[in-house]
Formats: sequence, structure tokens, C-alpha cells
Amino acid sequence: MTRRSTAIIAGAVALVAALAYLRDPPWLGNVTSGMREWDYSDPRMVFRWTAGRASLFIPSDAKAVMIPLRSGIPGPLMGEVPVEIRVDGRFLATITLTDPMEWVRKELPIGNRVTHRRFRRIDLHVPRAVGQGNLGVMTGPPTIW
Amino acid sequence: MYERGVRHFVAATAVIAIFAYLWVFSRLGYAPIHSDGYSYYVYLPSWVIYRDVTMEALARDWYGGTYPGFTGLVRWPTTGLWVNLHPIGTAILMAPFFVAGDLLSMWSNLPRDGFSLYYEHAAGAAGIAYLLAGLAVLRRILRRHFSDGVVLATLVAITWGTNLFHYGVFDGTFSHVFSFFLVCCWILIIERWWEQERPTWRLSLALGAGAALIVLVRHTNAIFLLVLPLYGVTRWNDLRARIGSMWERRKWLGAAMLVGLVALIPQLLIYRMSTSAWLVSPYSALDSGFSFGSPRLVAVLFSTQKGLFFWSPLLLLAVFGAIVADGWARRLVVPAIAVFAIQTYLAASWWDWQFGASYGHRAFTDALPFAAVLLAACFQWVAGRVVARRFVTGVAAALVALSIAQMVQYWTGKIPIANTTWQEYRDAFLRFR
Repeated sequence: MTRRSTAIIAGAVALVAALAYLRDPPWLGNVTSGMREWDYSDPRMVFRWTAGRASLFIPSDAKAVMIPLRSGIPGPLMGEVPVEIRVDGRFLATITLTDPMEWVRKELPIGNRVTHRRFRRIDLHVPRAVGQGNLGVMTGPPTIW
Repeated sequence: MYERGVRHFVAATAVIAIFAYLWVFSRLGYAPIHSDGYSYYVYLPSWVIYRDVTMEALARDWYGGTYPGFTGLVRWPTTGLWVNLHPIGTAILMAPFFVAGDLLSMWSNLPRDGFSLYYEHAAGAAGIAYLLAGLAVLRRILRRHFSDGVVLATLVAITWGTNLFHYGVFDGTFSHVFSFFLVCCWILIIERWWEQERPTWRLSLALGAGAALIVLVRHTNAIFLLVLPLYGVTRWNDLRARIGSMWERRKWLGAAMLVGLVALIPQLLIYRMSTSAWLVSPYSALDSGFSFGSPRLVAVLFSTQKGLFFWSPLLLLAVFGAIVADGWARRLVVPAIAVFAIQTYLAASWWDWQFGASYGHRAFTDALPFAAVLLAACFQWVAGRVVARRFVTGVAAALVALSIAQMVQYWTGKIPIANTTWQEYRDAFLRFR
């Protein structure tokens, strides 16, 4: 076997191993997208702002999830801010935030869809982004059942 | 020893770049796609994920319909459609990395939103990859004409004695490192094209494609096209002969121009679709542009704000190299001076002559391949003079170390991102705490 073919085989094996690992990595539960850092300025509630889109991961064996939501800033239409929630890309619910100062806590059953992954992806979609900070809504730490 | 150093230089730079990247984006809390990098990149999620060339769908999905100010997208006053301040070339060069990030996001169940983990790092990886590819091409050019010792010294000096490494790693989603790669290729192609008695069609087509990509990455970089007619011109009398030889090669030149014009069509169509005009300056929507009557020439070259030679003093050796260059390097002196003069005038006339947040003056990063050739000419000249060699080696090593130290200071926020005063510079000088 030439040095070149050995390198090609080693590269292919490494690629397959990396892809197998990245299919369901154990650290995915700590990954978020479209979320700002946690804000500890309010002693009653730790929160973080989303952008217009945001995603987080919860364990796949969760039966239900509750993500505290608050609009913080009134929305453009009658002050309401609708938040669409999807699980692994499938529509789960729309929660409408009417009072900018009120935390809304709704338990959402996830259903029994089978997954072979460690985590399910929760996507939040807010049809706005406010100011230079590109703010969507405030979210608290999720509770899982 | 030098031969091994040259051979492994790109691999060694790759290792250093990866460690620097991991430090910057894991410990210092930055995201690879930021500032101008956003507008260079945003074409890709808009085209591939949202299947929308108007950019509306992404604006609706992420921002409720209106891009925030930092994104560099503006509504064109007469049509109400989105126009990107930056052209499509960087996104085209990033595309393979974006596709890899997109496929990996689907594979790992990460959100296919264009800005989640793999998209960010795919864009960051593109910057490093084009830095390394550019250095590999530059090494190939230099090795044909200089000794291994000179090549190694030049590669080290241009990578770490200027802001090149910064624009490959920290601001790798900006256009500059992509332009650096293209200009390296441009020099290589031009050298080959003029060397051949009858240029091949393949090389002529590469010439056209290379020219188009240079313009697509940054429109003002069209000034690099001047290198084609000026390559090898060292006296006024050479110009007449050059015009003649270009006429003799009109067949191949015509083919190159045709390829170049075809490659520009997507950008022209985008301008036409969003503004109703084929050629526009998107910055005019912001009432920003050039003030050719009052260029800040001295500030652009020497000020503490972004002065080229203040922040990359090692490039003064390239100026000396332009004086002492001989042999092959002499052929690039006139084109390099022409490009540098126009580049300086354009940057100095731009409304934001500091070019916003940047380490050193980024307007000149694109032209560093020319500086590299002239640096090599300088190193070659001193190589045969013992005292000069010791002096230049010491000075160059000190300036490379200073440039690295200041780059780290910039990354860690010790040096302001713009408007640095002399007092601020003195207070921060070599301070890391």
C-alpha cells in the first residue's frame, strides 16, 4: 500500500468516525442558537433574550416542556407578541404574549414521537426584532417533565 | 533547514491559526460572523435556505421584516427592495464551507437557520482556509524567484508582521483574506500568461475568472486588473511595446474578458432587480461615498488611528524593496506602485477613511501579495550584505513580535477598535492586563 492510499483510507475512516459522533453528540444539550447570554439583573427571574429565531435542546425522554416567556417590549400589533414553538421542526403551539410585563408559563406536552437521538430541538419564532440588540422575547430556564 | 521551514510553513500556520481561532471564539466570546462579515455572508442563507434572492424572507424570519442597522442591508429608496452594501464574491468563495455547515446541521439536528453553530464555524473555517491557500500560492510564486531563506523570512513577515493573520482568523468572514487569496492567484496567473509565447485557452479563461472574482469580492479591487497590462513594465518605453503585445494577444484577451463579463452577470442582475439600475453604489442609499477633493492621505498612511505604516511598520521594508528590487521582482514594481497609489487615494477619500473597526488599515490587506514580493526583494538585497542583513533581521523580528503583541491586544480589547489617539496608544503599549 502506498503512502498516499494509506492517507486516503485514514482520512476516510476519520471522516466516517467524526460524522458518526456528530450525529448525536452528548454536548448538544448545551447548544443554543439565536439566544443572548443569561441576564441576572432581575433578582426574581434569570432570563435571556431571543432574536427573531432561537433554538435550544431538551432531553429526548421529556414528556412535556415549559419555557417561561415574556415580551418585555410591546409588539407592533395591538401590543401582542405571538411566539411559535416547534419541536424537531414540527409545529407544537403558538403562545401569544399580551402583557409585556407578565411571564407566561404554559406546559406543552411534546407527544410520543420516537427519536433515537439524545436531545430534541425546540425552535422559537417571534415575528419581530427590537432595537440594535435585535431582541425577540425574554425566556426563562425551561422546566421539563 | 530553510527548505524544511518553507515546505512546512503553511501546515505550521494552520496549526497556529486553529489554536488562535479556538481561543478567540471559545474564550473571548466572539462569533465568527460579525460586523461586515454578516453582509458578506448573508447571501448564502438567503439563497440556499430561504431560496430567495431578494433577502426579504430572511428579514421576515429573523427580524420581523426589517434588517437591523448593523447588517449592512438597506432598502433602496426608489424600489423599496433590500440592497446589500457588499457584493456577492465573498459568499461565492465561502459557498463550499456553507454547504458543509448546512449538511452537518441537518445531520446533527441543529437548526437550519444559517447562523447556528456549524454555520458560524463553517464561515470562520473559510477565512482560515483562504488564508492558508493564499499563503500556499504566495509560497509557490516566491520559490520560483527567491532563495528558501528569503521565502521563509517573507512568509513569516507578511503573515505576522501585518494584519493578514488577523483577517484570516479573527475577522475571517470579512472580504480581505479572500481578496488576498485571489490577488496571489492573480499574480501567478499573470506571470504564467505573459511567460507563454502563446497563452493557453485554459490560462486565459482562468485570467477572466480570476479578474471577475476579484471585482465580485470588492468592486474597488478592479484596480488590480491594472497589473495585467503593467506587469513587466519598468520604463515609459515599455508601455508602447506592452500595448503592442496585448494587441497580439487580443484573441486570448477577448476570451478572458468574455468569461469575466459572464461571471459578473449575477451581480449585475441583483443590482438591476433591486434598484432598477445595472451599476450602483449601494452606499449612496446611506449618503456615504468618496470625497476625492479632501483625501486624508497622511492619516491613512501614518496616523495612530489606522495608519498603514504606523500599525504595520514592517511594510516600510517593502517600500525599500521597491527601490532595490531586481530580476523578476522588478517586473512587479510599477504595477505595485500603481495599485498602492490608487488604493491609498481611494481609502483616504472614503467617508470612513479608517474603515471602521479594524486592526491596522484593512483597505491594504488585499494588496499584501505585492508587499510580499517587495519584502522578498528587500530581504534578497540585504542577504548579500552582512551588516545590513543583521540589522534588517533584528528590525524585522522586532516588528513581527510587536505586530503579534498588538494583534493580541486588539483581540482582548486593550487597543480601541477605532479612533485610537497617541495617548491611548502609549497607555496601552505592550500592556496585556
